[in-house]
Amino acid sequence: MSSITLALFTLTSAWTPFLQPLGLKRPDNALVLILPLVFAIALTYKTLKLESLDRLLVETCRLSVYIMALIALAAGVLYVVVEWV
Amino acid sequence: MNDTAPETKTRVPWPLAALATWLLPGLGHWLIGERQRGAIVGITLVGMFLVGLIVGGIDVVDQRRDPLWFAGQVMIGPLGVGTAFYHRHLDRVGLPSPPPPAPAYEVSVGRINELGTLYCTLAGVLNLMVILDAAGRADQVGRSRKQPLGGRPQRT
Repeated sequence: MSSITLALFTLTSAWTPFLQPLGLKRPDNALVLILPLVFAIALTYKTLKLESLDRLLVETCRLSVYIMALIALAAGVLYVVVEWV
Repeated sequence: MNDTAPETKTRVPWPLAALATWLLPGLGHWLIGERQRGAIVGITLVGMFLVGLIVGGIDVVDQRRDPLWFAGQVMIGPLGVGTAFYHRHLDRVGLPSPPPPAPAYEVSVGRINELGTLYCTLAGVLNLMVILDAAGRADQVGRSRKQPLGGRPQRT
């Protein structure tokens, strides 16, 4: 058995997509998945909102940054409330 | 890249556009002629739903234990309904009986479950927005039928 086949077998036998959740050693790292989620939300919104799709990517990136900034701000406020109030 | 050229729009009844969007995200826009818009939202929303299933496993679409989340997920159409049916089927297959069979799927917990659920539910809720948009655009095309789209009203 070649090493590639062995590696594929190990990978596929270790994790079955859709039937098993994503196996992350540190579940807190899963928060990184918020980034593509925010991008997808912004992309859908801007696709419907813009009259012309010429500036879709730029507008989507801008909205994604706004949303992430607001999430960070909300996280900061909640941290202050929880820790200090 | 501008796919909103008025002459490309097709008249479609708004309920049909809404139903088509529920059946397949983006299909309503595709039918009224806004194909690029439909393709982008379709690929994005179906992709979001599938990523949610990959992250959290099939456990994130659960009609019985998470009915409120499922109310959002069902907006993605047959994809969400089919996933819920398959989940129920796996629940029946995995029921303990002598000899106990292996569980058909693995239950996700914690942040992974939250994120998977969030992905699938937001895909459905965003598709509701797409459904309303497709219905509105189809209605707009239907109303402006008597005049050339994007131009002055025709004199009879």
